[in-house]
Parts: sequence; structure tokens; C-alpha cells
Amino acid sequence: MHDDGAEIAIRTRKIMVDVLGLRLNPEDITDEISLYSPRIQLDSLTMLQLLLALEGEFDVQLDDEDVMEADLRTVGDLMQLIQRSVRDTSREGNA
Amino acid sequence: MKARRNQFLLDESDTPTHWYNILADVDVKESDVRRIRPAGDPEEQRSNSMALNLPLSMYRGSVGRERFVEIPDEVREQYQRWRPTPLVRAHRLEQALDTPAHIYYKYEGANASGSHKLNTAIAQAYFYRKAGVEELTTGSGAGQWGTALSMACQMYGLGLTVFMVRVSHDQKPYRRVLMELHGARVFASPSATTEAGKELLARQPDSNGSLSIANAEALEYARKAPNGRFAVGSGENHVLLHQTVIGEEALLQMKRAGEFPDVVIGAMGAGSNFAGLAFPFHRERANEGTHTRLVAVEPEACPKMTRGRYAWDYNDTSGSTPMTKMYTLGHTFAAPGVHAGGLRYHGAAPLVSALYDRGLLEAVSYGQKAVFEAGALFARTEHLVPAPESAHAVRCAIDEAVKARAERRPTVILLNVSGHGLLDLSAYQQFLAGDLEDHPVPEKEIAASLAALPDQEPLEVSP
Repeated sequence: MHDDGAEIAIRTRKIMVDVLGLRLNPEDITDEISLYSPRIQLDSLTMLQLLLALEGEFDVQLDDEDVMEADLRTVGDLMQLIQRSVRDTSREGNA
Repeated sequence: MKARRNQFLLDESDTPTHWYNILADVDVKESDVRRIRPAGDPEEQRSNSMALNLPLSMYRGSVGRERFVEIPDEVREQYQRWRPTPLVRAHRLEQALDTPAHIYYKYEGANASGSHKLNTAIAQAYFYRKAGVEELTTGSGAGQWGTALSMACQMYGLGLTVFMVRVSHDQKPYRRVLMELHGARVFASPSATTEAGKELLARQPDSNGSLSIANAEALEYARKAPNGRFAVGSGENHVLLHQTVIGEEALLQMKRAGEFPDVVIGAMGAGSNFAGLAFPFHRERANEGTHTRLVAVEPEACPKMTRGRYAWDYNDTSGSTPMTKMYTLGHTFAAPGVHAGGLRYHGAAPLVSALYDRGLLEAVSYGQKAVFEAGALFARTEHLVPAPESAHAVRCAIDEAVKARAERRPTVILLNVSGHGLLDLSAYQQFLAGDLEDHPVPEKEIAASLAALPDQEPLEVSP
């Protein structure tokens, strides 16, 4: 899949709003916001639900070890994880 | 005279290749049964980071709508060391009951851990190891789960710390020995090892413990371990999924027996024992038009389905886990210390609860004297000592068979004998000595623990 960082970011924010039921506009979800802030309130369950939804959105399968090791603190951290996965999947597709 | 057949065995190659996901055949959404916790100040930021507790690949198959989830080759290979397990016709029990009923039992106790718990322990240890986790923690009631997980962790090179409900830890010392033999560390819960345990001990120094508290301690311990995660033995979707190998095999075996069950019976702790056998029969009912009754059997000392409430509740006493919609007695409930029969968890698995709420299964409860009486009869006729948990299913099967006799109605009964009772003989000793007491939970005790249920209204996320 060919995609750029900006498009991934837009789509990820939209998924966050939909899956987490956030009362936020996607464009208000900036990279610096903590995933555990009162506005996002990610917990162990919604983290899993969100990751599955992002897998579906980008047609990727996140690596278990990458996800377990990831230190996901902010929206930006999540974006980087997804972008990395999309890029790796794209490379595998082109190999 | 044609010799009657006792066992219906399958070849190793018949070990299921897939687990069965009941979400393909029931209208239950994840949002119906899981919810963000609302407890505490919604404006408060609880943490700055969080480690994912479940491997994504293990979670994925358990919440989707695919009817069958492939069992990884490595897990199936481990299963084949003990599976398929036997289906046995209980001829001698039938004779003793003088019943026209045909009674079959699926025996899960012949593996190294002595119970069905190994089916999910192996799968979980595999997925956690694959995800790079190095250590697991868990809570265990009667000890079968801790035993099974200790073996599975040893298979996959994972460390394990078990918090075992104190009263069971003291009643069943050889379970602790088995766990330690496989490299686990075992603490009697509540313990002074965690803040959760210390807090409870400060309030109730003589606490017998509960699975809720043991899980809270295990959760806290995992959060402090550098690369540790908390694993559960029942209740969660993935655990029930893993246990469906029991029912999948039973379907093949009943076909070989030339009969189909009118009633399927399993003991009800958090739900994997019952669901493992029953869920594949629900699929047949939903898609092939069979009419099998599914009956979950619980102790009257922990009657979450027969006397609990269908409500949002926490999975443990910490209040830090997402809430689950379940039949519950309240997360602060603790079964009495005199209860020797296991099945102590305060809540029923969300999937089992949802089916019960929709009228798709039945639930009954028994006092422990009747349960052990049934276990003893089973031991004397079938020459297999059932685990106290399994003896609950035996009790119900006997009652169904006696009813069939009274009504002169042939009926085919299938039950899950989920484990052997050879490490629970102290409980049978109490039964033989006449020392077991029935302990139906007083209504005011249930009311008190239900009063501690969290707010049932959904949390509004701040804009």
C-alpha cells in the first residue's frame, strides 16, 4: 500500500473518533496529546479495539512483539507505530 | 451378545485444527459486553503510558466474526500430546441409576495438569512468548489454572507468579507443589506481596481470599514486572475460544457413538469449562436445527447466574480493569471458606452471560453435599474420581437421568468431566467424614456485594 504520513494521520484520527466515541473533531487530535488524557482515556481494552480497527483501515497486521514493546504515550507515538507498519507492509508487497 | 462400547476415541490427526468462535452465531457485539471504566474522576489522567496486556494476535480471533480461528501449528502439536481426549459411555452409572438415559462424559483430566485448563494455558503461553513477553502472573482459585499455566510456561520458557486463593492454597498443598515443580512462584492470596493484598489483610487479617483479590494482586504484580503480563484462566473470549476443542471433538465422537445429546452439561466457574463443551453444540442448534439444551451448573455457595444480577462489573477487586456486562454477585463477593467445591469466581463470562440473558442456556445450582455425593457415586461406578468442579456437572447429569427414569423417557446426556479429583481428596475426606456443610449464601450478603457494583450508566468522555 502506498500512503503518505499526512493521509495516515488523517485516517487514524478519524478512526480514533469513531472507535473511541470521542467528542472531538479529528483535526483537534494533535500528536502531543496523551493517549491517557481525559479527552482520549485509552485503557487496555480500547487500546486493543483501536489497534484492530487501524489494522482493518490500513489492511495491515501489526506485529505482536512491536506492539508489546511499543511505549505508546501520545497520539504521535501511535501514528509512528501505524506508519511504520504501513511502510513495512508496503515494502513486503513490493519485494 | 454384542459387547457394549465404553470409549469413543479419535485419532491424533482428529485433533481440531480450529477453535470455534461463537460470535459468528450469536448477535452479541463487543460494546454490549465491554465498557471503559467510569470509576474515579473522569478529569484525572490515570497514567502516562500503558503496556498492552494481551497479544494482539490472540485477541484478534476472539472478537471477530470468523466462525473458525486457526489453531497455530505449534499449539496443535502440543495439544496432540494429550488430545483428542476420550468420550466415555457411563454404562455403570446408568445401571446404578436404573435409568433409560444414555450418559456420556468427555474426560479432560488425563493430561499432565489434570484438567481442561491446559487447553488455554498452552495457547496463551505460546502467544505471550511469541509477543516477546518473559513472565506471566495470574490468580488461581482451586489451583487447576495455576497448575496448567505453570506447565505451559515451563514449556515455553516463561516465568510465572501465581496468587492462589488462600483457603484453597491451604486446603490443597499439592497443587502448590505441582506449580513450584514447574518453576512457578506461589503466594497465598491475600498476601503481603502487593499493596492490594496488604490493604485487604489490614482490614481482614483472617481473610480466606477470593479469585477477585488474587487477580487484583496478580495484575498489580504484572504492572511492576519489567516484561510481565497478567494472564487469566477463564471468562475472557479468547479463553472460551481455546476451550472449544472439547466440544469440537465431542461432536465427532457423538457421531461415532451414533447418538446426539439432548442435554449438554458443564460446571460453571467463570465459564470456560461449560463453554468449551457447550458452545459447538450451540452452533449445531443455531445452524443445523438440533434441539440440545445447554445447562450450566454452579455451586449454591457462588450462585452468580441463579441469584446474581446481569450488570456491569469489574473483573477483580482493583477496579482498574474495563467493566464487563455479566451475571455477577459483585466483585467484592467472596465464597465462604467452608466451600470445598471450587467455582468461586464472582462473575460469569460475558459470552455465557449474554447467552443466558437471551434464554439460550439454562443454569442450576447445588449445595456441596449433593455435589460430593454425586462425585462419590461417579467414583464408585465409573472408577474415576471427578474434580469437585466436575462433580457439579455429574450431579446435574444424575438428576437429568433420574428425571428420565421417572418420565420413562430415553434421553442422551453429555457432560464435561473437566478434571480429576486426585489432588482434591481432602474435600472428599471431609465428605466421607460428614463434615461438609451446605452454605447457601444469605440474601443480605448478596445484596451487600451487589450494592458495591459500579455506576451502571455509561461514561461520557469529555470534549
